[in-house]
Amino acid sequence: MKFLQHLALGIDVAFTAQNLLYCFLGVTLGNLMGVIPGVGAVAAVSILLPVTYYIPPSAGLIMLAGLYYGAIYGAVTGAILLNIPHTVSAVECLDGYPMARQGRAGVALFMTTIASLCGSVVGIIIIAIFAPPVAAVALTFESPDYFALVILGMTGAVALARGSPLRSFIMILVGMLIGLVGMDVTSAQPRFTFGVTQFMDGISIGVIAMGLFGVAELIANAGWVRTSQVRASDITWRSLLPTRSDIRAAWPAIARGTFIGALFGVLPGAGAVLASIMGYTVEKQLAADPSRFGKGAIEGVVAPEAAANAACQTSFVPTLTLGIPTDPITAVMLGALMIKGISPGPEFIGAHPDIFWGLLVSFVIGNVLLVIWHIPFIRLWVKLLTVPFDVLYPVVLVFICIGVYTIHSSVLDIFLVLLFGCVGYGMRLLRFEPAPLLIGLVLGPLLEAYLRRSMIVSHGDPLVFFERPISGSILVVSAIVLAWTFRKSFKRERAALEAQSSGAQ
Amino acid sequence: MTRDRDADATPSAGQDLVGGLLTIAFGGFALSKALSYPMGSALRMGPGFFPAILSCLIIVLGVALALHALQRRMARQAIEVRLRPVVTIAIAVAAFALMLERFGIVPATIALVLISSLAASRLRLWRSLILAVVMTGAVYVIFIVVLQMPLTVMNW
Amino acid sequence: MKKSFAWLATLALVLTSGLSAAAAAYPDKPIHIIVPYTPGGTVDLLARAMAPLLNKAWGQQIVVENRPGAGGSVGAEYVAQAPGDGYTLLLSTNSPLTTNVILFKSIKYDPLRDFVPVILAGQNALVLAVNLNLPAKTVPELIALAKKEPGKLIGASSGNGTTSHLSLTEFNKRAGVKITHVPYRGGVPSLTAVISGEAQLVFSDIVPALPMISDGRLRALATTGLSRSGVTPDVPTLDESGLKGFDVTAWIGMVAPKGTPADVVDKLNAKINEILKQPDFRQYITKIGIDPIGDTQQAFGKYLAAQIPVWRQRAIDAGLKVE
Repeated sequence: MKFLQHLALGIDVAFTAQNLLYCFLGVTLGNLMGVIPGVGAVAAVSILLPVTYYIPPSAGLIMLAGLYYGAIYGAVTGAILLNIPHTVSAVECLDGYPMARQGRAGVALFMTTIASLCGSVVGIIIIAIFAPPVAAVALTFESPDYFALVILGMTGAVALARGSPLRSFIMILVGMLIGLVGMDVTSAQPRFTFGVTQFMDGISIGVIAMGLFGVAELIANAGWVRTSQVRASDITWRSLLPTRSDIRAAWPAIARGTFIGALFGVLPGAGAVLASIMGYTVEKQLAADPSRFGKGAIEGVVAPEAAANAACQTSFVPTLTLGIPTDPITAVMLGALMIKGISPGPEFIGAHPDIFWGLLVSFVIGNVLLVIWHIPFIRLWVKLLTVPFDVLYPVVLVFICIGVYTIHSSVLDIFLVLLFGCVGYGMRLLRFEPAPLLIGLVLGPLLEAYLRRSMIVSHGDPLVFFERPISGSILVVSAIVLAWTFRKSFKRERAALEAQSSGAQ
Repeated sequence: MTRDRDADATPSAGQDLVGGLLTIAFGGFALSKALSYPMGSALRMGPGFFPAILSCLIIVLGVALALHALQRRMARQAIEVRLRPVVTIAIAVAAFALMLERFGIVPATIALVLISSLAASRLRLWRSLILAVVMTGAVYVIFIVVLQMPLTVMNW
Repeated sequence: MKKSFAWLATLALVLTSGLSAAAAAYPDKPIHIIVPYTPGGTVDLLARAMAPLLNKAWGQQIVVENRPGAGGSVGAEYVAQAPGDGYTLLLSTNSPLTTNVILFKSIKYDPLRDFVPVILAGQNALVLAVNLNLPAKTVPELIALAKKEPGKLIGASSGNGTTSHLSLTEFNKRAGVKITHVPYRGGVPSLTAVISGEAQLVFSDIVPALPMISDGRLRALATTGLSRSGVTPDVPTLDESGLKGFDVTAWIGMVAPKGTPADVVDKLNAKINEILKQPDFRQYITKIGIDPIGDTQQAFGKYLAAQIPVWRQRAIDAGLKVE
């Protein structure tokens, strides 16, 4: 009953003309930022921030939140169509881009839109029901627990690998090493910076992702005598719609991805990237035929997408109920609230039900707007693939270069994206995969920091990881996942060997 | 000719060998750097500890990859490097980077589109010029008008 | 001799008149305020609040540009290399202008030689917050607890060489205790570490800690300035709590690249002083945790010169490598 009252209050707040307008503005701009390769939502937030001074806090929050999830919605477009990911959508490249190459870009875009909607809406319901208690549990996580979580993420990364596990393991380690560039947090020692001040904070993941995936893709494809991948006459409305078997394969994946994403979103600092990695891993582990993954399996696209969106929505739990921002954007949102004299915390929901419930209802509105906004565009995006590559690649290059520059207003970053583009092309020639490298990049510095910090706070006791119930149980789960992966690949290898030897005789 | 004729094939011995050697070189370079930072102890690890372990692991795996190549009979298969797109795109992006803050985004975009078009299979001057103009307009509208980013527009 | 003197005087006259003409015209194009941090932080909020007021006064566009990196030093380096014409300004905290220069070998600017001080906009003290389960309710109790088992208590900070870290060092030195320092990547992770109990105390910027203090998930023991902070008038200072003369405050100041004409600096200083006196602006920046200051550019110059050795000593006390 109380829930319905709250819902009514939320609907009241969210459906005012002003709030609808700001919601629309936020998601539209966010979506645009997401679709353009490389332009981060942070840039958009800093532009809109002054606007929030002049409007009521609920409207400001609704707009900034719309920007945030709108960008995540849009990010998958570039990943599927052009193999150019944002940091959150790197995993969707693995199967989304092969789908586009098979002429199934429309299906991929359509299904990810549905996955996003499902992930977001379920994420919202989870916020509404579980927010305060779950957030309280999340706060008891200490460094050893986070260390265990990162280990779990790494076991996932091994499973992400397509092709040779030896090569992906090398790539994970290389990524971890590149992730260490910059000033060491624990000792203030600069590492691998070559005396360049800008390297003190490390190399931005966005730059590396766009270099290894985007620029490398352009270099590898520029100049081939090749007309477009898709003929315009092939794009019928029907071809954009998923088949019955697509839907049958996708919906359980969406459900699992949503659940995983909702779980990871609540943890401060774990975030959407880890959620999408885990979403993909679980699908690949559960699949009857894991070899389909990396070649355009629909589950491999929708599960991480649902997970990323669910995580994005549930990350508002720590932000609002604990005052803990999960990334720069939620930090800006908190700032906007505090300027208005509203302090987030466990009492926030009770003290400002209008803002909290208004925001939740606006999430639903925003997500529906995004779907309406997105589906008619799918046809347009797919048409993009009919443009001859000779015309397309300079256009994409322009957006990558400007996008990279706007992350930190740094010219050096443009040279770096070029460098990583060339490295990525070299990696392609030698058959190394960029995806595990990207994951190593995210997880490496975390792994080191949590490990060293755990040792300091436990006063040098390595047993701390097993004594704490949270870290202990996560480590056990990781061990099971790892054993499962190896058992599977061992079986596969033996089967392959047997097939080979029987073929030879 | 399709681009990914060997997308599903296992890497050739040559790819394994070159990949392994490059991996060893990368690991060795990282290790030499890592050893110059304080190691600390296992309980209070210094900044060199973690990267040194990573580098050693990378070297070991690189050796494994190279050995894997030598184990197999060397099938002669050249690794085909196409230098033209690499060089053209490199020059185009470098020109963009150098011009962006000095001359502004309009000339930088024009240069980027025109130079990078040289990597195309067939050079079509008019199409490149039109593309440059259209792109400059689009960039101006998106980044300057709509997103209001702090970029220099034009500065001669 | 006399003749050459007259010639010099004429030259001087021509030069100064040229300069005042420049100042009269200033600003005739957009002014870029460089914030060397990511959007949403205190400095960024201050810059974005100041921008519309400067715009209203001068009718020129004020562009706030974020150039984060290396604790603010990437942005500072960018401004140090910008032309000294008053159209590129740096709004910085104390770190890039003092501690960073001492810590990072690779920094290529000298805070006194490469910048012209414009104005000291404000300062902000830090708050000493502890975990709720810690038996210490006051600063003397905390000191007694720390003395009982040296090295057992763990103090979080927002990073090596940050004001948060150096406050802890100063506290260790003045109170004669040994609290183990553990750096985190930024202020928020250090706060959550104290809430979860992984660390027992932290010196934090006040505003991000405020929601956690006001709803009782952290206990504020003291603030680090000589006088109480505008946002936490109920929390005593360390100076009041028995550590006489304890004063570690972060500050935010504006500097221009060297060679910026003196009258342009005058004009900026006068206008920003005026803005800092507006009641609603004062109220706003107090909310984001800044106690407004103002005063002349000479006063800021003197303060900056005096602050550099102070932070240098703190960095040495913290055991950070100083070249």
